[in-house]
Amino acid sequence: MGVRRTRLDGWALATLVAALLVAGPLVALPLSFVAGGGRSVTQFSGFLPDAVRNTALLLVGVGAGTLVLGTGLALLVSFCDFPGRAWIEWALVLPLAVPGYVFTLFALGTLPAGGAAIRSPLGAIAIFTVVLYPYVYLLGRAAFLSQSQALIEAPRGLGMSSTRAVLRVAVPLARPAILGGTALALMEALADFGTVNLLGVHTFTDAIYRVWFIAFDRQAAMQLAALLVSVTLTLLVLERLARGRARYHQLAARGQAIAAARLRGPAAVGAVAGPLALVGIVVIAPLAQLSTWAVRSIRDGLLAPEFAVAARNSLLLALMSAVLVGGVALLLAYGLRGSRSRLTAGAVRVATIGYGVPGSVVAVSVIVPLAWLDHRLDDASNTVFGADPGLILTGTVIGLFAAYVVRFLALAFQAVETSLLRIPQDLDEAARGLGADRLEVLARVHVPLLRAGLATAALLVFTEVMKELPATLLLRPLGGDTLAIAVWQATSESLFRTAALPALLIVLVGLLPVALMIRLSGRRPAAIEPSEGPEPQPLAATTM
Amino acid sequence: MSEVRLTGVSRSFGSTRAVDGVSLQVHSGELVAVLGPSGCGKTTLLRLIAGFERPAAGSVSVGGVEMAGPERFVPPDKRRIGMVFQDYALFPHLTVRSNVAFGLARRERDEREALTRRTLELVGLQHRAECYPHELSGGERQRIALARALAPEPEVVLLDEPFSNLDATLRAGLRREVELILKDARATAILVTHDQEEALSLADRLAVMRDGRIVQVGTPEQVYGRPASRWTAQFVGEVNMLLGVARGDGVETELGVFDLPRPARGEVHVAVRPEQLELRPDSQGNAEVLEREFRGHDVLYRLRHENGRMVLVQLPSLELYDVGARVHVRPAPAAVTSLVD
Repeated sequence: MGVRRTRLDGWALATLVAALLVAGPLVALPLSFVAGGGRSVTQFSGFLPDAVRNTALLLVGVGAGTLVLGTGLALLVSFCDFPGRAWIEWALVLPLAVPGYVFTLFALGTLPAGGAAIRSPLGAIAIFTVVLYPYVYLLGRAAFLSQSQALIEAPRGLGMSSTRAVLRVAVPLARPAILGGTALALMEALADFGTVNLLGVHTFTDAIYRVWFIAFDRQAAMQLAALLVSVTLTLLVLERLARGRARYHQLAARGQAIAAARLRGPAAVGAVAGPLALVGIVVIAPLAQLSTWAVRSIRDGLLAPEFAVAARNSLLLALMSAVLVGGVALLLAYGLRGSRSRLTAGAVRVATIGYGVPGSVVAVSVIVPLAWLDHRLDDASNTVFGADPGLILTGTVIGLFAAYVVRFLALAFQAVETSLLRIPQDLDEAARGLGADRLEVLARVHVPLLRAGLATAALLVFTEVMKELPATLLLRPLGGDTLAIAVWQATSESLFRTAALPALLIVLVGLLPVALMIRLSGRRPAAIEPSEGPEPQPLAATTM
Repeated sequence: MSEVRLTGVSRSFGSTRAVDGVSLQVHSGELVAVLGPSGCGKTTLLRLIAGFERPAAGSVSVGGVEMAGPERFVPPDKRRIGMVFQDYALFPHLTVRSNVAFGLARRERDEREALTRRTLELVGLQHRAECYPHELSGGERQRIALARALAPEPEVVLLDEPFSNLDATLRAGLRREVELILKDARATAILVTHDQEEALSLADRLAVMRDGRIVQVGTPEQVYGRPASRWTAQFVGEVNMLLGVARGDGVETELGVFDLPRPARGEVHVAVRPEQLELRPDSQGNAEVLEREFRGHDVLYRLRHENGRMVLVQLPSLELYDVGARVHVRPAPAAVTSLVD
């Protein structure tokens, strides 16, 4: 008789606990409607209609804008050839490095009348469209490039023009990828706080901030957050569904890759000038303007006195978060690998939905359990030591780290897991058979092989933390301003030159992962297979 | 090196019984091949011995110490069992030397270096010590995988389809080499394979596995010459299954009279190997050559007997018959068949 044993060993247990700690706050969010009793969102009904209306407007506008712009540009670089295409193809990704609030700073500072023209939902839509279209562009382009020439040629044989063939065949086939990209762009727009706040557009994130800081009502903030997160989760599910189908669609596409049509004359000029103008306005012009302002701010002594502190805070926070979040991601990915427990697997999946959840929601959902724990610790220490240490979790940077882990874990986890999945399970077993326990397998086999994946994870988290605004704003300890907060604060006071240097630093750091992505997609992923059949690999040998 | 004893070991995946009540004893210094078709559970059996799987029932002991049983489970890193994987599983980020030394991390530096050097010499690859795995040929990788498993002086070495990733030309030579290395190291070894030729030529004893059970254990000669069942007879080599009437020491079949390994009476099924038959040219003969498969040192003929059945005959390639030729087929002198169910 076989006895069914549970396979929850130490690693699986640690993984489960870590995953639950991360997932817990998000799962608990809806409980705020039940648990709170007393006050409820209705008491802040003043915020609600505006928030609903503006958020809905943004969703529709940004959805349409990124869909059209991103798909159009993807079509252009995939199906047309023109001078400088190879460069323009990648230049179009650069806006990813510019956070919405930094572009807003640039726009408000350069447009006449303090940017009155864009202080509206329409202005916010325009800004989100130009900084978020790369999500649609990247996924759409990847989908187009995976299609085969035959798919375009077949309808042409039926008498369709090539333009019609592309629109009637290629675009519908890429629909899952395009919609997935749009969902990602919308999630970013929903998560944004800086842009809408600076433009005075009252959305959900803005409402959460005001309920939190003006009304000091955490219960209501949580309820608003729960409403917002339900919209986000819907988008997340749509994105996952679209991604699942995209894989299926791409399976159907085999054969010769599409051949781009050479553009000539005015069409070629337009194909070069359009994207260049876009990248010029969204990336080059802000960089140039910010640099000018930054130099002037230094020369004229306009730099905020807290600048050095903010820069140091940002750097330390980003570095420590990169290590912390990378470490948690490694623990979860590795724990998941060795475990056959469905419970653990499910918990990890839930723990990694955080990236779809807006920073303000994460902040709100993290603070409640931490505050509870804090008071228990405070009480305990009072009874045991008779000393009152104060609030050690919520009042300090620990709360912030907790929020960063919840928010950015998915990002790091994906980078680590992708690399981890490429390490054959045989290597683990070979190491175990040679007397290495699981920790040694991790240290002696996985970590050396995961260096690239871990570095990518750390870099992604580093840059995200550098530009993170809403969670940092809600959870920062006293005097803990960061570069992002400095930009937001100075911009909201129309001190554009003061905001320039921190904004410039944020964009420059943001360029790192974009450059990494361009470099990685420019070459084939490095192979780490331990054996490639009977023949030695002369090509691989020369690269060592 | 120590003996391995499996007692009633079972392991299921979902509703499939991958390993179903297997008992097997491997003596110290012996090389046993577990032979079976893919999916018969032989790799799972190996993984149960190594500790990568937990038996649902039964026990595994190595050197008289229980490794897995109802009350006890020793994790793989505490078992001192070396394993050679099908794809070798060499660590791609480590040199050959570091791969071989991997299992010696807890030894003194001097001992570690001495063992590494000695093992590399054993497999004849000391000159490749500073190479990385991807710089080696398939055969070299294979030997390094073996060296890595042998270096910590394990109780037992397990080899999972060790030759399946190699060219046919490399395979035969390497097989002999691995056999010599294992004997040199006085290793107790269990090798899993679906290749009957490999199992027959390499192993001291064979364990034939089917649907999670071991159906026959014996020397290569016993398993080939005296298959216990029709299935084993057909799996281990080619065979003609004949119905005959046994009369004491002999059995009369449609192809003639064969000797029996033990006296029997009445209707019996016998397994006749193709090389236990012979042909002579005869225009009035009882069979016609349908196909001729030339294999170098021998030739396999597929004949149609006058009663309609197919007959396989293997002859040295000195004797050649053309397709369509009329021949007479009969038992070779002193051909002893085996009785099967």
